[in-house]
Amino acid sequence: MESIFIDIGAAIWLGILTSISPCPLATNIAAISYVGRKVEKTRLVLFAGLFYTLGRALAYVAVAVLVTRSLQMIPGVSMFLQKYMNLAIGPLLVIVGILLLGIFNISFGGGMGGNLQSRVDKMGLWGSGLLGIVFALAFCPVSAGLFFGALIPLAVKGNAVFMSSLYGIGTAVPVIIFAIILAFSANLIGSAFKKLTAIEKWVRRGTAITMLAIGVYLILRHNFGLNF
Amino acid sequence: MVSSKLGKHKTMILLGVILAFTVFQTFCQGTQASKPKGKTGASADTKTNSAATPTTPALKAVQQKLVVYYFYTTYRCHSCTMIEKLTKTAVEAGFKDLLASGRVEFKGINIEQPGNEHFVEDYKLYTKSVILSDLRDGKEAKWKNLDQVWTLLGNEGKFIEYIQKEIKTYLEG
Repeated sequence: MESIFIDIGAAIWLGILTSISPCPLATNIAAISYVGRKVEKTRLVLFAGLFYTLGRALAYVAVAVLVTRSLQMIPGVSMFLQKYMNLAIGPLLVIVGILLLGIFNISFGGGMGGNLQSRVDKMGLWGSGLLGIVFALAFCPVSAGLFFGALIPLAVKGNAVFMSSLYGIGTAVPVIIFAIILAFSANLIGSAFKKLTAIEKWVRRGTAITMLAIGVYLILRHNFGLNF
Repeated sequence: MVSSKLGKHKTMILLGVILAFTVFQTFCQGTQASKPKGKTGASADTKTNSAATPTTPALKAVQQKLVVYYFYTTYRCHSCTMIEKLTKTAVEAGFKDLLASGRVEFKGINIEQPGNEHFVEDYKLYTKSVILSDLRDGKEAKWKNLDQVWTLLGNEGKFIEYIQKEIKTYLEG
């Protein structure tokens, strides 16, 4: 019985250890920025954080269920995700950044309604969930080492779905904490100075620029292989 | 209205270029071998080559060699270079004489370099890894993935202690 609690603690700790390593720092900043961008609505930020966490947990559960069925798949799955997902996230962030910035307008005709910018902006919770899935699947060496090397043995011993969910929650902890701090502090400052709308506008622009900058950084690192 | 249409086309072209670039990149990565770009010592060594020591079994006792591999990829992250540095320190500080005599050897190998891909399959590699390989008369008798390097990375002392302890166990075994 005691060992179950040790394993639970270990799974969460491995997740936190992954999240605080320098490796996923860039994607963590992008996630904090995206999740916390609706600073004027604290509840929305909290739910966005929750969906981001669920997205991450879901991705890890899917991978854990897949590889625990056949441990022989681990090298192939891990190397594939590390190589190809990291090639995709840079361009994806650039696209999201451009759309959030709202420099260009893309209108859908017919009954679609709204332009792509506002549609991306309104994706809100689902967007956060999707971001969680994508970022979790973009394994970096640290997350691959801890997930496949330390978490999977725990998952094999115990319950793969449960253990990998806990790991996923652990990996989202810094994003949740910073998003909450961001939302509450912006709300307090905005309310005090009665400038919540102005703050919201700048935070949204800041999010777009952050996503763009991190996207470009990741493209240079992963797609062009520049080490800096 | 015209500018809105123009903006729409601009964005579509921009998104198209980004998507095409991603697909192209992915395709290129899948079909071409990565450019060698790492440590100078990380040549396209193979396991057999690295262990190729001349032996005459009839006259000599079994020749033993322990190779401490650090496998990395062209993409280097802070944690990965730290693992390499600490592993090297652990080997050099703990086994100086054995390194000099050739009984122990440290090798950094880029698994994305042509000719090194087989190491992924040989050692079931899933990320940057430290592997101990026990060679007897040039043939690998056993190997071990020191998979705790990722969890101990935050503690230099324990990391070095772990590497040295595992090497000692292998040398004695």
